[in-house]
Amino acid sequence: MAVLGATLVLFAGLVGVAAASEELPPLPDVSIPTDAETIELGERIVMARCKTCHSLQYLRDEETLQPLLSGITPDTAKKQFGVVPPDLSLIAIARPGGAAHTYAFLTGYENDLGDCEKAANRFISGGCTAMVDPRLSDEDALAITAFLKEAADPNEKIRVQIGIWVEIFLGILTVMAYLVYRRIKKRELG
Amino acid sequence: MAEKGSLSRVYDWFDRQLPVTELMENHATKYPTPKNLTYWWNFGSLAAIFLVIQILTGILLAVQYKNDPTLAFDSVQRIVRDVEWGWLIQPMHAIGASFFFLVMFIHLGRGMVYGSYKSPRALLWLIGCALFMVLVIAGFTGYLLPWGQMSYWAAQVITEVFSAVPVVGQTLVEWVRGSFVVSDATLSRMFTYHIVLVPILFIMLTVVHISALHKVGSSNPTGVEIDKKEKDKFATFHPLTTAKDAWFGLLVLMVFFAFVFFAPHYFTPVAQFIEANPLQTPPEIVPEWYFLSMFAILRSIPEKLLGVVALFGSVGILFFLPLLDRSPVKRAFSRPIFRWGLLLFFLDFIYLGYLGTKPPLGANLVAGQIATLYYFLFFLSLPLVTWLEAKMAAKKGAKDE
Repeated sequence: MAVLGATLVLFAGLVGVAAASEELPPLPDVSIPTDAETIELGERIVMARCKTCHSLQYLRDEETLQPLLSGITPDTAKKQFGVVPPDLSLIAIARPGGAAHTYAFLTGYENDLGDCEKAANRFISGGCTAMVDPRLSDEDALAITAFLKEAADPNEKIRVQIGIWVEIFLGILTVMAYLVYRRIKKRELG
Repeated sequence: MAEKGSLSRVYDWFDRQLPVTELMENHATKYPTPKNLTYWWNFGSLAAIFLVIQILTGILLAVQYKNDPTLAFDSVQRIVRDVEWGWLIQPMHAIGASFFFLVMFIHLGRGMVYGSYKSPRALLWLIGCALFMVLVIAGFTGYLLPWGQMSYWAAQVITEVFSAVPVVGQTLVEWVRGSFVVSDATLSRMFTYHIVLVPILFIMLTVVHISALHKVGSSNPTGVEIDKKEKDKFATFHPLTTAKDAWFGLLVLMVFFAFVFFAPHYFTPVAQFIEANPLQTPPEIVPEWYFLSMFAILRSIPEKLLGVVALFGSVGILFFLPLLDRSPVKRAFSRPIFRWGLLLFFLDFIYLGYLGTKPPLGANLVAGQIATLYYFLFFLSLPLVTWLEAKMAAKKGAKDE
């Protein structure tokens, strides 16, 4: 059993090594709020500001149930900014570091443009971005991050809630099955 | 005589025309299992558990999934967000793949440590290797289906390796992809292989694998075959092994569901959450963890054709293990040279996996080449190792006398 455990630890380590690799500055150590109020604030900011250029295609409008599209068409955006602004529904899990990267990006703008045409950001590879500094307060950036995290993984809450009960159930079942096995082992092997 | 109940009459009706009792007794309840099996012998039944999980979740996913490049990525999001319990089924299938590979690696490793590839189990081993190859195909074809950036580019890179074949290389690449690049045609065929060919082969080979196992009997940790007549050294499969498999299986399922519920994206690279874009190569293309060792072998050889030969050879050579290792001693711990060679082989395999995450440059390239060399040297040196060990044993025998 000890060797088995060691194998599993080794395996987890190997996967951990595989997950970590990127040459950007270390992401800020930030805890993303999960309370409904902050997420709602984030949603309001995203709908009022971000959605002008960014779509959130996997989220739906509460009334029409249509996917949330950006205020400007991708073609217009391409003409205006040179690129189509990325969809935001999965952005909080689609970058190395996850939601911490979203927050870092929103607050990582440099005043000195350097060689960049539109804006300089420490947390993007190459250092340049077509998105101009949204000049957000820390609270607003955090609220946006909280909302986008929820948008990217909307099932997290229910998953954890159900998961705990599944683990408790399996735990009891495993212990019971083990006790059964011990009795059978005693009977069969003496 | 008591009147038979209607249920047992139905059972008798079946049993008269189908070997129900016979099959159940021979392959489940009464199959004689050595009493001294350790927990390393649990991974075969664990593989079966994950096969069942993959098939059941796979059927449910296939119902909702759309195998069309314009819809595939969306349909996976739809499954996770809108389909009832989709948020549970999708990560079960994805995490299940990782666990299937982990279980398979340990099962194969157990076979190597305890000489389960030697007579009378050579064919059993060969069928197992075929099952492993089907699992590799399952992993590869399945990874394309979510149509994320990593899906697309991993498929692009791996199908590209066929171009190294002389003369017909490019034709072969187009034949595999069904097009010049990974596209709609590729997705359609990979989907078909993944949901038709893979499960059929896997179930068929599993039945053959278990039949072969039950014909020759299980190996055991002493490495010495137990005579079938020594009845006191065997227990019936039920209840001893069924109870052991049940509790240990539940323990592993606890770990499995911990990933599913609390870290469903643990094995998923972030680029998989961006829809495939044929015009934009991601900064790094790294396969899933279970392909990393093979990937490192492919990349450590600068010559393209040799690299491909090594890639396929790394799995193919497993088939030749019964032929290369003719030592009569089954248990690795009882062999003075092989035991260290095998330990180093396992460490080498893990190290190759680590190197698979690094770009093949400078020291990493050299390390990869040495590790690749050892990977093959381990197998190819087995006749020599066996010969040396036989000499050592003869010398020791002479001394003892």
